[in-house]
Amino acid sequence: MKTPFRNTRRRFVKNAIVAGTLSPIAMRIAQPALAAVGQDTPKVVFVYMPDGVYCPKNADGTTSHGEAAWHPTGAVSSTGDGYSIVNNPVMNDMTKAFTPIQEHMTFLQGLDMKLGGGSHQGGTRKVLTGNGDNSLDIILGQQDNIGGQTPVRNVNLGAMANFQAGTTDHSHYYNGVSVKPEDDPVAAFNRAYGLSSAPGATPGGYDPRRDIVSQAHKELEALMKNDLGADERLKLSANIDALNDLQKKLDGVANTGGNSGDTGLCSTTNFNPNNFDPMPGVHPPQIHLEDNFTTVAGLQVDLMTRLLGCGMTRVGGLQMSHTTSNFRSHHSISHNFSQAWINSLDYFYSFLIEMVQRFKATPDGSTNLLDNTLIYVFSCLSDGKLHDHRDMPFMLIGGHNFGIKGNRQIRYDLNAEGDGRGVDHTKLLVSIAKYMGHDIDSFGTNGVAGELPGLYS
Amino acid sequence: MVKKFSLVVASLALAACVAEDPSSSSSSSNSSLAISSVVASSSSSLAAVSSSSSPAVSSVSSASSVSLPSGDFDLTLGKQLYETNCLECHGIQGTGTAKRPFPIADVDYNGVMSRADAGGNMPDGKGPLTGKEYKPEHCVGDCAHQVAGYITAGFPGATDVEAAQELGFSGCSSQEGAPAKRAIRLLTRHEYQNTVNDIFGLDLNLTTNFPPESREHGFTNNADLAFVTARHLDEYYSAATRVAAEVQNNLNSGFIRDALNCSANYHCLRTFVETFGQKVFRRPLEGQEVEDYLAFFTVLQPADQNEGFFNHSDRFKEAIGVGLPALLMSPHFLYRKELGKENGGVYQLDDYEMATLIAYTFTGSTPDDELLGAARNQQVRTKQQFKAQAERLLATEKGKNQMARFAIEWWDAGTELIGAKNNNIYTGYSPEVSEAMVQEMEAFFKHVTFDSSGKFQELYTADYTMLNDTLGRFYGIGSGLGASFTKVPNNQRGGILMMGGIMASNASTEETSPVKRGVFVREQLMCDPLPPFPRDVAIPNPDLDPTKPMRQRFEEHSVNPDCQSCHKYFDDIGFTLENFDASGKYREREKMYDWATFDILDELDILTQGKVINVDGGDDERYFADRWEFSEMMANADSTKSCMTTQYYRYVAGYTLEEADNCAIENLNKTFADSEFDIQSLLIGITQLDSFSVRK
Repeated sequence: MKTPFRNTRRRFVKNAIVAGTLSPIAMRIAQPALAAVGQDTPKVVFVYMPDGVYCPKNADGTTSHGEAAWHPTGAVSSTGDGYSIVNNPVMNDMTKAFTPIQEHMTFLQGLDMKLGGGSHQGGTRKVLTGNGDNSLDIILGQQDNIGGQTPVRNVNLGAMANFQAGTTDHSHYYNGVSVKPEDDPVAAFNRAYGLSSAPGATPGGYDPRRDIVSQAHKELEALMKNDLGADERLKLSANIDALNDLQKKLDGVANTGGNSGDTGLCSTTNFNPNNFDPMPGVHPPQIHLEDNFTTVAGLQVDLMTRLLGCGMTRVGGLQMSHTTSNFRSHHSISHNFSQAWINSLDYFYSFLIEMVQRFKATPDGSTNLLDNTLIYVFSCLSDGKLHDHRDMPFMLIGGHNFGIKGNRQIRYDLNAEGDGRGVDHTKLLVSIAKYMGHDIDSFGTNGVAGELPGLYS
Repeated sequence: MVKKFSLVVASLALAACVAEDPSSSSSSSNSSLAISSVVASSSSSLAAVSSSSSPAVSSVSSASSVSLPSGDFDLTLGKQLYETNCLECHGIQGTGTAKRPFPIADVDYNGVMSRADAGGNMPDGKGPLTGKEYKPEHCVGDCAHQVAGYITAGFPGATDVEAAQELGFSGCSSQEGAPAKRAIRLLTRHEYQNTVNDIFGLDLNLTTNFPPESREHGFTNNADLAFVTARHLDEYYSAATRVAAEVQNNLNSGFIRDALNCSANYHCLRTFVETFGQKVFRRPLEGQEVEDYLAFFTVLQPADQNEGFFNHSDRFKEAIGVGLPALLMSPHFLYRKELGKENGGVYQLDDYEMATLIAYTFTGSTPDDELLGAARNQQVRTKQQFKAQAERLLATEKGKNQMARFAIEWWDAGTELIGAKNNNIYTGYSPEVSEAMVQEMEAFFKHVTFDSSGKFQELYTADYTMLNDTLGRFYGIGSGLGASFTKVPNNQRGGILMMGGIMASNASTEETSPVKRGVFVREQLMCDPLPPFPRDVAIPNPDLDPTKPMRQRFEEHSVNPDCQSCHKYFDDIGFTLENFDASGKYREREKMYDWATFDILDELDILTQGKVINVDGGDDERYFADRWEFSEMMANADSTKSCMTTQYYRYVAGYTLEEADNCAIENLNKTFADSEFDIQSLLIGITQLDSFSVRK
């Protein structure tokens, strides 16, 4: 077992190749983490599951532990300051689908999204932002010692996440604006490996993109010299950042040999073996046909495994449908406890389980990708019928090389923060940030400091 | 007045209330409250606000006439806390503000405490007027108690209404249309595709994989929400290479050949850069820009070769393939600029910026040759010239289609939004049907605006709809309809409120949603934004019960005071639209299903009568028997007319509206009213506002 980030940060700094700079001309080449064979580097994937679970509440707002309710049960094995731990928790109807991967899971009970808006959209808005302007995945991607170390700062994938979705139906935010997951796995794959726009037809293999980046950069800098307001400057700055990221990816991909085919885990072969073609059809496109969900989600899992496994990125997002999901009536189903709801969630969970198993089978660092990757599974709601944010159904999976144990449940005291409402969920976001090497004391605007206790106990 | 002004400005520095939270309905901006003085004789919302709010009181002592609940109140402290935590959304005297029109004046002590003291229901964020950070969520306990006391006491010591108006808290001051905000506006997917296809005479589908825009009030063109990410750049480059390949293939034919009018050589490359560069940048390229971009086109020229290298058609094509993507990746293409040149403290848009603004407003695409020529000849400088160009473009099919697109976004019901439906229940529903529903709305808006009365009222009171064969079959109306949309009179549907697409958008996969439909009417059609969802109030969806119609299942909303305080504004609106099922199809009775087998268990009567509150300000109640009467009510309301003005202004401005926009909207309202609510007059009238061509 490795120690959590606090004791390993110097190692990251020492091994840091170079941080991105504002000038693409001056930028050095960012190499993928493949170079560090045998070294464990933390990675994270944020996985969204739609519309909450069955987590009914008592009259006083505390969770009702009915037989089929979400949170696993079991005897307390040990206690800490404000929490208790259940080893080998007993799954119920809603969680028994996780049995194949239970050994890698930490179920969290007693976390509350305390401030911000309500219901579905309020939940998606704050679950990764803590009511701030940026979600944690974006923040981690922006860090020099995390996203700055990989060709792609972060990836944000989805399966029908944009199908008939509202503008507030996603959980990733940048400057207060929703960032949409990419639903097309083939396009995402091609983009990540620089294949979609490869200058194959250009004589001599000249790739004009670096020069285009320089020209666009020059023009944006000139525009910045106008007497612009803060909002407009922010837009232009974001565009410059995007140019730098493109430049970084071009350099990084070049060093993986991405265009040339097989480079171990960065292989661009054997993706999409059944040649799923996302392009035909405009309304709805192929990627948004219900019958193609299994194919699309499966390809996204494959892509996530490849991108993390070959060091293309360390920060991933995978969104199953979206809040108020109309995929096979999921949102309607989620208003009343039924076997149909369990089945619908189990279907979404099947892709999570597949991803966990793929990670476990993928060599990474000293062991495998799962041991280095913390998977944070979350939703926008606690109970799908009540539309509340109390006692959220959060889970952590993997991360064992950095001290996250599996096959247990951590129950936080309802009065841990003196308000009878459990622990503010932004502490979990702080813990995830620290796991990744981003050493912060608080996240978001809730005014809550500290990390989640008990994760490493 | 000066003293009061200073007092409130000082308060504003501390003021705070509702967050800029895109997840909540609080992200709405201007309301009918500030802009609905459309017709002098009508009951304006502003007047209603004045009359419904507590009268201004000049001293704390006046609170003695108000009955407070028992408790220890310090009204001076309450005023201070109110101004620190609540002012910018709830207004100086609780009437709401134009930016965040959430009236609170009539809420009693317990009502305030139930929301404020619970914590978490008053989101933290930035004050909509001052932009200051604030934390009203933390105003709980004694803070909430004192604020509730101050509100219940009738806002003793608050600035009077006149001063409040001067500060933009309600209504419009005497200031004529203030300049709009200087901005750079990223092309939307719709605009990008139109632009590229129009420049090169192509018909490509380029933007399927572009990241979707964040929408505000249904509009995809809010530039405040548009940031370029690395993913955008990848997609832009991918699209640009596809365009370049098409152009390479069409160099010697049709549109491109005619535009270029030269043969393969170095000088023709320069001509290409200058000719198409002007179209791409929407202005002539400057000298250095021509050289910069020509360098991309000539980069493949070996050092030992002269310009004659390009005297070969294959090399010329290759040069286009390398160089054109560079032009299409330029920020000067991807953003349309409204920066202007400073003149007397404001910024006047230049000729090409004006041509661009007019083109994208009225066609959703790049300026055509006539507009570019007018800009070159300095003939887009006067309001008359703006109007003439707008009228010219609006007379084209492209212009009419763009206005229909405005309507679709205003009605928040595009093809990306109309939901899938459960085929066990809605057997005839298909992607073709939902696409036809959007086309129905487009055809309807165009018919009313350009081919029928042209009046606003017809948008609500039409006794017909526009159908093609696909939709006619689905609705069960009309026969022998063709592929194109034609006017079909009928007694089932007519007007905005009976559009299948709107009904289907605001429903789930199985069931109707009276709440969604009612909220849609209030927010999109009446511009009456509702408070955000309460966070810690359990919002249980009614149980499935085949013995109870939808209205009865939502009964809790009308008996539980916590629910009723908000739901009274929109539930009845939704109930009167229950004649349309979740797929947008008309029904006389509500079918009750077994949710496991989807067998029909029963069919129940639909009660469509109801009342609507606060149509034009205040708490007036108006009763209706059914959707037809309600539509008539909406057709004649001030709030719906002024809302159309606001939504159109929002679409044209392309940013999150600010307090300063209110006067421009007020002036546009007058234009609309003066024309007896002629829609074309509204669409064109915006060009006559100062804010159309002047920026700050």
